[in-house]
Amino acid sequence: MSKPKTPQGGPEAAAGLLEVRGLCRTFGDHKAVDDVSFTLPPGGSVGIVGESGSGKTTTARMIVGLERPDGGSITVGGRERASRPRNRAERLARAREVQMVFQDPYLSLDPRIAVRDCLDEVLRLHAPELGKPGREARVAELLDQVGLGAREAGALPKRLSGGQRQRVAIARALAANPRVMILDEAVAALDVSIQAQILELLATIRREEGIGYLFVSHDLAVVKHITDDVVVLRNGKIVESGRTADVLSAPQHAYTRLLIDSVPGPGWDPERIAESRRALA
Amino acid sequence: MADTTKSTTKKKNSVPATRAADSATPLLALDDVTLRLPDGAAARPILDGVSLRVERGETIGLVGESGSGKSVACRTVLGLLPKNARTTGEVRVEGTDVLTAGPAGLRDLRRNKVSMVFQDPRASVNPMRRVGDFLTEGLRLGGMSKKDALARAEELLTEVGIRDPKGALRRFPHEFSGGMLQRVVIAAALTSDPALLLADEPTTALDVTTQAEVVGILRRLQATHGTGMLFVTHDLELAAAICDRIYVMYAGRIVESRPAAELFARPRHPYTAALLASTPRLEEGAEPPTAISGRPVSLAEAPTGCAFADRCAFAVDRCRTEKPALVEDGTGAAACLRVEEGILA
Amino acid sequence: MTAAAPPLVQGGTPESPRMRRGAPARIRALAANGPLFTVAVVVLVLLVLTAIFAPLLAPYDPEQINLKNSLAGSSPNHWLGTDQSGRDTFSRLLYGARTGLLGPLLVVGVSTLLGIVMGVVAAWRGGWVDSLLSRSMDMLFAFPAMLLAMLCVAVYGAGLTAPVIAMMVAYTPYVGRFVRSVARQEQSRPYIEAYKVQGWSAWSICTKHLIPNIVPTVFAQAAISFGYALIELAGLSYLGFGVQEPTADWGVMVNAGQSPLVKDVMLPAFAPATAIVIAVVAFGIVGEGLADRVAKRER
Repeated sequence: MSKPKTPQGGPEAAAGLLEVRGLCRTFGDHKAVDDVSFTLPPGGSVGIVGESGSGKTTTARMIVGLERPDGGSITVGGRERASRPRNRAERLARAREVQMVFQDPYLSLDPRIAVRDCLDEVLRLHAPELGKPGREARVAELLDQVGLGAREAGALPKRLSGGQRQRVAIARALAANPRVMILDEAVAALDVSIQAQILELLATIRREEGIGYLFVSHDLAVVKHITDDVVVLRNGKIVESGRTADVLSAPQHAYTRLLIDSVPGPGWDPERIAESRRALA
Repeated sequence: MADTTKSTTKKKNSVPATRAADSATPLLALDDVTLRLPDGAAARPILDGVSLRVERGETIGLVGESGSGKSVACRTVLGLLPKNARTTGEVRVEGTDVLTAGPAGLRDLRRNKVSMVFQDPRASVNPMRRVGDFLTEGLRLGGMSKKDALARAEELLTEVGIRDPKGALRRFPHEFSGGMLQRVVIAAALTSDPALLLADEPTTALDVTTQAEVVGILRRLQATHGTGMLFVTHDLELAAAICDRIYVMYAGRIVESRPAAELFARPRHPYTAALLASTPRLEEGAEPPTAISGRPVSLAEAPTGCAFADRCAFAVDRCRTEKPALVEDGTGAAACLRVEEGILA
Repeated sequence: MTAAAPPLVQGGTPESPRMRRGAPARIRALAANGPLFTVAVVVLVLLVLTAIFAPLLAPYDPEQINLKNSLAGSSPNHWLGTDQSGRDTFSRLLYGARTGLLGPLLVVGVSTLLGIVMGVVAAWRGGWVDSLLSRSMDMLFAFPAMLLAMLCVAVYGAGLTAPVIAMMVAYTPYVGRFVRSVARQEQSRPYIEAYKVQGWSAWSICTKHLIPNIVPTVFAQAAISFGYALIELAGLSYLGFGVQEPTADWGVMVNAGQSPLVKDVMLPAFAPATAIVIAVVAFGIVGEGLADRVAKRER
């Protein structure tokens, strides 16, 4: 069930697991996402970086199917998913392509459902062939994978800490056995010491499962440590993209430079940042 | 009438030097502050023996994760205590104890001496009132004429970098972005020309580039007005970048205090070191973050002995039974039983 | 309490003006799970038991006329005295709990059911469906309940049925609007989006997850509207549009008790009026208490 999905040959390996081409979305007269294109290679990890209003969350929501794009295409393994799913089978197939972990662990779990049932539900929907004992075994496996035990399994979300909840949310996403996982500011609401735990967990899962990550974040330091490639968005447009290490060490665009300089650290100079921000505006 | 009241409030152009005249008493002193919620379902200790100092013109960081009690400690300075909270110890602002001050004393304190900037600017302004009314109400209460108050508000808005301050006075909060509104809130905090500014995660809700600007404004204003600032944050890097000295809190206690650069370079408490190691860093060649096992606890959940013992890589048996005291060393203080052994060296 | 803690969800729920109308803030504040809440629950339980067991509890037939004993004062035989026709006020009061509770039960039950369906459909589908449902609810809104009731009485004749139907029609848009706003808030939470991402059908998400999560909030409001339905139905009976003499009904009793007031005989009017007030206040307190609990339970 949890065997790694190693990239296979054929068009998929060549084309990338997730392909986003010319994605657009307008709200009223505001272009939230404007001609965004990028590729997530199989088992890769792409960061989408930007500030509020950059369109990064809208992009993620369109990929996962919570928003419909006005234009452009989104394919996973060559299958188009920009339009509305035609039937149940297609809806489920898409769910197995892309899953999502949300930012706020306090709102992203159903308050009425215990952890075990939360995972069981997903298995009932996506792996009915398992049967009850099979599902139980798989739930235990998933919980183990995210570092939760039997005690947490029977608990309602309100009994869990933020970090534990986020682990449940990750297990829930894994339960559908997705090929791509979108992490929408998935560590932003966590304490620093917990954030590092979740980042380690995510790195391990990616290594073991070969799932592709789309890591949406405002936090460059986090993106640096969890992604291979990065796309920098500003006002709905891509201003820069490339290997994360290259973009962060030698940014080509002034805005990327500003973002990097804005992160507090040694030699941080708010006055100079304010100046370059004004120069960009 | 207006003139007599004006003379009692501080002159707006007072310089740091005049404030420093009374340098014997610190601007803010928390001495062995303990806070617990009383008996009943919610009974629990929140703070244990918190002591800290803020001098005039200084920026002091108070850093901790959730449950550390940093916000509660910060709020005690304004006398904003949780319902039915019992306190011991002293919180003195310019020598006056806040915890024993009556309603009139607290009002004077909040109106004239201490201002606070909260995390979420939207939650701290009345959405139905124009920014101008919001900014001038304190001044008007102080007896200033409407015209003078508006002029002062305009001046303050200019200081916090809002273009077209005249127009801004007529606008409503929802017409501002989060960063702009936080500037308005800062301007409002400065109307009383406070000696002490409490900033409780003032930039956490803002974008990084906006954060830099807001912090820049805070620092500049502080320099020109000679205001002391207590900067509460979960972000150790941010605190290190702007604070003179930092107090690190864990489970309702202060575990380490040190000048920012020193704390950053040579943390002595294992928690501080672990917190630094778990913070993802952007510099080239930075190590990936190392997680601390377990989760941050509050004082009520903390084990006897050192609250961090269960998560600490250096913990020995006596760490679990013996509560470490905050011991002064060359540059600061740390509350770790093994600090002498140089475990972090 | 610390700022790094994740933001707590605001527990408050949007409120319809009518459902909240009049409930004094002080009573609401007290109702927050204090002893008052317990007392109110006990009162409601007693009220329900009274309605069920009225025939066993009542010392007299509530409709038995005894003109010789008209307007008797309080006595060991007639605890609350008798009315103009010499009927035992206490017995009538006990029986009055039956129509008093049955009417609002039907009104609130049906309107809550319809309101949940309309509100959830409007919130979930959004777009033109939402506009259509919201506009039609607005139209119903514009019709005063009393006017609707009188129309119904004109069509169906007086009795319990016509006012109850009218009130169902009048209350449904309130519940619908309330449910719509609660459902909109709930469905914007990421856990509902997570269900969508998992590939569940809209029907499954709404029936298995969305509705069960908003039902406690909706029920708390229903308890409050129950009190209002009770008082409005009693008002209709009082005006002669509802339950008719000789049926024991609190509204009818207040009406019949008016003329004795002139003769300084208070009980026939005051006893049912007090019963109405106690019942309405009890429902209000329980409703507010439940709403507070739901808000606290939120996280």
